Amino acid sequence: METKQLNETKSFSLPLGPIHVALEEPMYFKLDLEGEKVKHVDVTSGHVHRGMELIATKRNFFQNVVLTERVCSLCSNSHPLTYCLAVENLAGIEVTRRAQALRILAEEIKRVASHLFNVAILAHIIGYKSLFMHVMEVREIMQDVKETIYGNRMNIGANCIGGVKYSINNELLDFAEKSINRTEGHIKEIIDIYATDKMLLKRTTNVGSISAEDVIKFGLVGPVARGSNVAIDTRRDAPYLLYNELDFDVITETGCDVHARAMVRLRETIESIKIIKQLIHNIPEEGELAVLLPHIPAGEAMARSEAPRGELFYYVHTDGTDMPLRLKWRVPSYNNWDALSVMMKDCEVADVSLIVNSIDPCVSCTER
Amino acid sequence: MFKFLKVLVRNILQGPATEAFPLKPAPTPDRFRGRVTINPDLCVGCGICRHVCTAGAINITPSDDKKGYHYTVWYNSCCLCSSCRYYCPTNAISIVNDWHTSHVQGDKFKMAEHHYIPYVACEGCGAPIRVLPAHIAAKIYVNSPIDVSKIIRLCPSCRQIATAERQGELHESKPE
Amino acid sequence: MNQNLNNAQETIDRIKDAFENTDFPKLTWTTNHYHNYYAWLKLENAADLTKAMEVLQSLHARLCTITAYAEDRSLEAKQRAIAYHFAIQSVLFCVTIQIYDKETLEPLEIPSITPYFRNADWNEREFMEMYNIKIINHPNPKRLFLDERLDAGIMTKLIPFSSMVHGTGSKDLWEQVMLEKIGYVPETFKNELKEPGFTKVEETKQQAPKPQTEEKE
Repeated sequence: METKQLNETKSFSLPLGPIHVALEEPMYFKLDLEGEKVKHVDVTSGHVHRGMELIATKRNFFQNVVLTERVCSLCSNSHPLTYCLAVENLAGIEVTRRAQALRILAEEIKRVASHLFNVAILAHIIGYKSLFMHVMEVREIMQDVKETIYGNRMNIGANCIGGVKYSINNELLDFAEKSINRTEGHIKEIIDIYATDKMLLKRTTNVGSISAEDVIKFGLVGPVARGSNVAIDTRRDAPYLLYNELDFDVITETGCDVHARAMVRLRETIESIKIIKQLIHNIPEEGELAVLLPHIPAGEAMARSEAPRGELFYYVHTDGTDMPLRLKWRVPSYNNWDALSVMMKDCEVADVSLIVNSIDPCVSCTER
Repeated sequence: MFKFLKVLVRNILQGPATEAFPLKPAPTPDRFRGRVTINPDLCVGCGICRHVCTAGAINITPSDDKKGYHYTVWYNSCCLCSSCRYYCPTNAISIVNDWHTSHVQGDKFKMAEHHYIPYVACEGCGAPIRVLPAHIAAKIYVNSPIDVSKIIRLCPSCRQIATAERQGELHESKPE
Repeated sequence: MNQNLNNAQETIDRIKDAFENTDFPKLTWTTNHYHNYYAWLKLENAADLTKAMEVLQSLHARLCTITAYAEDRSLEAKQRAIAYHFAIQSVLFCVTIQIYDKETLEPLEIPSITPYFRNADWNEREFMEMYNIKIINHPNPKRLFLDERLDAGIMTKLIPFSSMVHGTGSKDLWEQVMLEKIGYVPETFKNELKEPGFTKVEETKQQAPKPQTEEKE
């Protein structure tokens, strides 16, 4: 009798979220379970939909640089950068080489901080709190760099249409270099821990797998794609700024699982540091800004860049006024959410938040 | 596990990584964007700061007697993006690293930077104008023989005439 | 920089081969200072959409995103268009289609492109609810962001609060600030018709009408 009752209640559905599934952002999952195994997952979103694309059509082009920076805090530099790239494509503005170098510097510093944050959260989710604290402390070095050079820890305000808003001097570059070297030592140590720690490996390998075929089918981008050995990187595929003059590798892993994605992120921070080092000694001399307040003609343009989470896409459509007719952006997380149904197929309930974190989700980016 | 224990021991020996604030002051970099401040002597009231301000934190309203204008920045709207500072042509706006702007709810409307900025009369025609900051005038007339101190108190049209006259004089007195 | 062009050349040729000797309208090409290449295809009738998707699928394109937009700034305008954005290696490819009848201006239904590009699912669901566009044969036509109880296309009626107050303090708020800082509210400010702090809305040539503040119960 008792066994029969157990069988009857074997499959049930479990609501998870919307509060704090992995990160402190709202997303609601309805999981259909059989015992401990997830059979089907249903994602409900929209809790932080702010209508930002509509607001953007009621702001002028210069205000939108700041508005797009507030879409999300972790890739807060990629948004204004890609927006500026799109507007510059439309208006045919050529940015000075110095401004291009400074844009890359800002972008890569943000990337190191963003990736470290994600792998720290991984340790947090599996209950490895001391490792979480340590990685966050290493990230703090990059936060200090941002605070010292740009004046803010997250919204660094580096970009503007036609160039960059900040200047840099040798003193700050020295500070950046010292900090970068310090971080590099720590990250190498962290990579070693993440690659070999038995507890970490046990929780993260063969969890949340997605094959290269599915990656292509779902149009996935960024570390999620590269963790499944699909080498897409906008910096290499369609180089913008000075990226094709810089030496860096596109990191891929073959594990296809949560661990592979974490390793891609960690190893990418080393590549970012490599880029920053190349730039620090070779920042071109000419001015920071090509044109102060350009007129934006009617037309349409697209631009994309490699944000920490993958390809970020911007489309701008203008009608000759000083506000866009339509501004649309697609964040890397947007594609990755839908693929969770594949990654979570037959996983354990306890791994759900770990898998969610492995796509480095950004809800405020996704819903805008 | 052993590898991490090494890190752990090192971190313990290093002591706390956090700041002791509010018991001790928190170190703040010079460039930190804490609060907007205006130099009313340099402001010419062009309004570009208001145009680029996404948050709409800047208000410029003429005074009732039209002899000047009120320039107000409300801190609680300001998102410290530094666009106003960047686009200000006269460097009248700066952002200081003082971030101590926390306040009780009842004081929220006091949390603003306000200046009454008066017009002066143009020395040529008496029209109400703002004096052109000397460092901007020096930039505009960088390779010009014109004495900038004489023209910064003129309105744009009087300045144009004065400049043309001065240039005419120089041209006439030039030996052939 | 020429390195970018060399890398892109092969892809550009492949795209040209696939689209040139067909019934499709002529492709427009644009580029930027980094030698990134952009192809633009403006489809004239909705029936060509699936044909274009077939060609793009054969080119191994990856769907970046889909943008639905109103061709006119005014909220009443019904003329909607959709731009499909693809990445084909280094080239970005944009297919634009107007989804209204050219004479009656009535909206048209369009087929789902999910059979060709799986990740169109979320994109299509988003514009179905935001722009009230009808999609034929969508595999999972439920709401993405908007609650079921709200009408599709409601975003053109409901204006976000921050937009209504222009993302800034309202007139009331500035009056409070002025009372504190000046001691009184200048008459010039009271008489100002436009919202303070936000300059350009009134001055642009096409201005969105004031949001309807009808309460829907």
